[in-house]
Amino acid sequence: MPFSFVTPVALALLAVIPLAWWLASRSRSGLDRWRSGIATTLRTLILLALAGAIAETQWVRSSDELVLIACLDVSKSIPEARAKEAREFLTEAAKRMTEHDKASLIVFGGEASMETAPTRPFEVGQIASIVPRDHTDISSALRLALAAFPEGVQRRVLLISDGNASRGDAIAEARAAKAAGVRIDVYPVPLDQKRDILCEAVVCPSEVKKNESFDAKVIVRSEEETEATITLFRNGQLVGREPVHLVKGKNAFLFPQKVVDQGMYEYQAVIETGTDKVPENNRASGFSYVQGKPRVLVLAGSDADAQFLVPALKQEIEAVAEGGANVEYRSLANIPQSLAEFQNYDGLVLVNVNAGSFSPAQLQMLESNVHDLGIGLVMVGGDDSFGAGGYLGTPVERALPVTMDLKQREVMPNGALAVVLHTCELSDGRGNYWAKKITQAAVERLSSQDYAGVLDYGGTGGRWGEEWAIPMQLVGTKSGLLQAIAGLSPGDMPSFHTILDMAEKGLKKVNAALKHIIIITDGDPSPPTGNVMANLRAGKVTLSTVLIDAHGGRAGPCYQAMKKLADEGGGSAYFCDDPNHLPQIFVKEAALVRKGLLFEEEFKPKMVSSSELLRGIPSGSFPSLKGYVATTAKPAPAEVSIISHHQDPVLAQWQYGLGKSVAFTSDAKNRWAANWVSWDAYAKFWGQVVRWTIRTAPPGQYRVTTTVQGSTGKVVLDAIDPEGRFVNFLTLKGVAVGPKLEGEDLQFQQVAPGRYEAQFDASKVGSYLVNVGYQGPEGSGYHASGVAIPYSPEYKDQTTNMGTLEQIAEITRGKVFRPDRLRQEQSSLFRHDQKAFQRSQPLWPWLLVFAACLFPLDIAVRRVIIEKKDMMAAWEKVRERLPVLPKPALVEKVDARLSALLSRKKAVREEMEGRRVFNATPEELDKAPPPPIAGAPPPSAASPAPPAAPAAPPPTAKKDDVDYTARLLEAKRRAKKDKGV
Amino acid sequence: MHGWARRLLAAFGVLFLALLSLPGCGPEGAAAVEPAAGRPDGLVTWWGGRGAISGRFQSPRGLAVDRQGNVYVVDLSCRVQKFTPDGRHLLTWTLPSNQIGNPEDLATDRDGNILVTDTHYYRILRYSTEGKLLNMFGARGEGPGEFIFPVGLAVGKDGAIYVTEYGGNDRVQVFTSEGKFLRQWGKFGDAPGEFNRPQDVAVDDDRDRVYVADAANHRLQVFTREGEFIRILGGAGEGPSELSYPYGLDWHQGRLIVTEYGNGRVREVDVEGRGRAGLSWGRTGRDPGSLHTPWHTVHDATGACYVADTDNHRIQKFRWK
Repeated sequence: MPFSFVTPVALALLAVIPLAWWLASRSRSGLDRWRSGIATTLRTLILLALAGAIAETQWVRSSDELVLIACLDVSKSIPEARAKEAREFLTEAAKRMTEHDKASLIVFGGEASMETAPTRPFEVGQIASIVPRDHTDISSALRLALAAFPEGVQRRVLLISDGNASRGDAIAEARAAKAAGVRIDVYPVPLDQKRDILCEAVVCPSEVKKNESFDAKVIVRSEEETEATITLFRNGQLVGREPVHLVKGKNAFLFPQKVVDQGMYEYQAVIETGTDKVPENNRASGFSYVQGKPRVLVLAGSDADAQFLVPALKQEIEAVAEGGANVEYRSLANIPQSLAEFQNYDGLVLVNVNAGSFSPAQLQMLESNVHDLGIGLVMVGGDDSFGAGGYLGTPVERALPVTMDLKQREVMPNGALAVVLHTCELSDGRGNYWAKKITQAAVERLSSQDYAGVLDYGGTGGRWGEEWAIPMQLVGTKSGLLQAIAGLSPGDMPSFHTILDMAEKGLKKVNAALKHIIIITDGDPSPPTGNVMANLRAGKVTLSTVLIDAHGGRAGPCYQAMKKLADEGGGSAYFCDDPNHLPQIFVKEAALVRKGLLFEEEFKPKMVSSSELLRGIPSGSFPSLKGYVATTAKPAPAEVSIISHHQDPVLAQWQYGLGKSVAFTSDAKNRWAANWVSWDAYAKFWGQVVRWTIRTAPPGQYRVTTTVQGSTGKVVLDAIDPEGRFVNFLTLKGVAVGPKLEGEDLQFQQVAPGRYEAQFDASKVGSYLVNVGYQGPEGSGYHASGVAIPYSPEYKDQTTNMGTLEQIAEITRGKVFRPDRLRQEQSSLFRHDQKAFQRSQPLWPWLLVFAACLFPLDIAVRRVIIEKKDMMAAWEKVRERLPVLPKPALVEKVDARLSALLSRKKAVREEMEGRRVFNATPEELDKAPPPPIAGAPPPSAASPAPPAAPAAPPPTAKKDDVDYTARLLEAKRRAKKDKGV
Repeated sequence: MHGWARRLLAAFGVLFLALLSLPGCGPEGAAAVEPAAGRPDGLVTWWGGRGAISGRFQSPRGLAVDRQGNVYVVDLSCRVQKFTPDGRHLLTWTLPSNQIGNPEDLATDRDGNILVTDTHYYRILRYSTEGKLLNMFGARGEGPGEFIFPVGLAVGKDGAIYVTEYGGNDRVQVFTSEGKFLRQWGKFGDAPGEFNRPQDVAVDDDRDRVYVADAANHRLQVFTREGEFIRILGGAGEGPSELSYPYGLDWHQGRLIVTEYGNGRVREVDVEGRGRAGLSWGRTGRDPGSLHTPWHTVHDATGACYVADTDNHRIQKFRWK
């Protein structure tokens, strides 16, 4: 039956219909028979519609259409060969789709993404969606599939996976699918890694004392008995290498350790065998924190920058027994690479180091060191520091008490940067993404008073070609500029000739001390001809080139061409095969534009406020300085202690997050501070400045353990005092810093006497460092801890999880495709084995409208009497009003006949008159009446009178009619008048 | 006219418009669309759309037509795809590698095989019409028979293969049909006889002329087949006698057809340099009938013209009116 009723009991109202018939038969109200019949029929229909509406009638249609959504697991655990087989299986199976079938593809790893919407025909090409591959979340794929199914079709999911989910609850989602009537077929991806050896963990005590012996325990899981070698590294340095014999199952090996220096130590174990097929899971890490005397690291741009400072610090800090610290000097070749390495130190001094010497990750670490880990930071100036060193817009600038942007100054030597963007055909198809990203990075490093513009080959101005996609303009607040860069779509320019000519002309118009062009390209446009390069040199415009994924690599013709161009342009040629390094290039390039920040004039520094840093140094005793880098002091809590003759900060300090930082904008060597190095308070000054920043909290007395379960990290602090009593109600504050250097605040809760727990997100592969500070009745302290996820969980399970996959299929009554019978079973993928889907559409609104429309008709049939002549008259009226309708041909025909008759009559009369005149005498002609016309009626009283005679009176009846009608009209007019109409 | 009559007419009007709009409600985008015959712009059909599956393209650049009228297209995904004249996909093959760059042009040699400029691998590849690699010639270098970036191809009636290249050693080289070096001319620059990215070449054997699309100088140069300079045609601009990055050349029935990358059009150039306005088709845009940075054009034996509408990721087929 095509109809169903939500409230069938309401159909009892249909009983009213016979009653309506009976009433109609009893009283016709003077209606004739057919009119009464129509009225009864209309009322019956109205009652039927009303009863149907109240019963909530629905129109039920069945559909045989099938939509299949294939969920393809692209996580790292799926071997590429197996993934290819699965794609081929899908493509082959899709060839058997009928006109009632559609198919769609979802790809998933840690998240799911819709690759193609339901379509026919269906083909699996190159996967375009980008999903995180370090995890498998089957539930997210099933959830997306359930949401993506259209209504009113048979629904099936084909799950292509190894079943090893590292996130989400796939079984719960399968139950939801069952409830929604979706069947899930399963294609188990076979994993054939039978001979895997996996390094599960390195277990070492989270905190040890200096010179204390402990064991680093390496746990290895092996699928077979074999020989292997374990290598152990401590903070990247080799500390042990041993051949071991592995038995099937878990193995543990101990490496005795002793550490003499304070700091955080990461132990990393690597296991090697000749037979292992999955090398990605052959390493694991553990952390130990060694408590001891604080350490300060000094990093300098060159040895000359640190030649006076380091001895002064050693004398002033290291030699002190109480409250002192060890001072360590490193060149830029040995910058710490990880947060754990930085964690070894309690203070960091940067002496004239360009921001480009650090990777973006290291710049972020420098900020995290201060804010999250409480490590002190001192930046000592020089011509490669602060704004002139490219720190504007970097995380380090956030950590310092001064900003590199000089908004307050009226006269500011500014720079102008023109970036030429050429589309880059990177193999990953993200050339334009990187080109824009690094342009943004360059703009970020510019001051608000610098100029910037972008040229590309595009169609922003309507015409396609070389253009100023973003005209040269003041950088200002940057947000608009950055947004505009994000919206660019640079095209493939054939040559640099026109665009460099435009860049030169554009730069000529701006008033800037330094003008620079950066070309970002894959290197294949033609170089400029004519005088373009000569004009650039004449205009003192420098030019650098950056090759991203250059055609032919470093040895290819593109690099040679771009190097030649940069040499001619007086700039640098950068070759970049890893776009992640590009921001460093742009820090250096943007710093070129910022060299105007250096003030090389001798001045007497002026102390404006006394502080802990200057204790014991008289305010007027500062020797003169010969230069500094212009910066702007940040508002409070930043505090400026010494200023220059231009009122710019020379010494400023503040507390930033958990740590402290200091900015000294002049240098510490014999260039600007030539008079300082021989000053007797030089060592005292620097000793006090650096000591003020050193992390001061005492090492904690409790025990902190950090572990990871799934994608959640857990920090546990057990607080037991020396007498063995639980310490309750501690105030705890902590930060977990992940591999991307994003700090996550830890929210501790006391879960038991003396036990506090906090959780953090640990879904990324890499090291997590945890810093916990506490305040309690026994005093305060801090603990450092760490945990590592050395490889993706995808590499942990090396067998297909048939249990999960079969359970999913069983719950939803789906099918499990057997790998050995795929070819035979292809045809069953689009089987229509679900019952035809019933689709209901509510009809009650339409029934109500139907009844409402019939109701006036019913009244009209009863009350309005329309006769045939009325309809004819209305039709005539309509025909007169509408010129498009044909006029009746009959009238014209009758008129034609009448006129023919009349003219014939006239002719006959004239003929007879003529004949009579011819035969009669003149007297007869005068007396005789005109002869009758043949066929004409004889003259009678009814005949029309001669013209001379008076008009015959009209018949009396006619007159009465006219009078009656006139009276009626008159009465109607009077009535209307009385009513005031 | 009464209100009710106006309403009636309006209702009929709306119904009429709705009926008119029905044929335009088809799916947009990738699938081949057969436009109405006899359209004023001469567009016959188009096919493609961006994508990596068969029948779609990633910036198609080079074109060739074989003796059967089948069309070959090479694109940035390093695939050569073969189509029937109405755009039905027949075959796909992939070039040996595109790790360091992509091919740019195709041509049909004297024997009906397909030649490919494998630009960033400094060589010319020769394939059968079924996609079998037959042979290749060229190597990196600036000597005779070597290339930096070979980009343009043309084949003379005698089977001679003309190759243009850029990358600092911008020149024209001529090879026998077997790939043996014969002669060369030109160097980088903007003087007569010099080139800045000679992107394509066309040969008129009957009049002993070789036309070179000197793209970054926005001009064409005319030579004899021996490389003797005759004249320059065009110059930068958008006007009827001007050019913007001429990228493709095709000699067809006594007419030199130029594909302009910059102006987004395909047009005839008066080879005698008298500036006579000739045929022109297309303008920059996205709609069918418009072009976006087109690279090459090729004609088939029936006179139909195919354009690699590069940034629209499609092939358009039209006939000159």
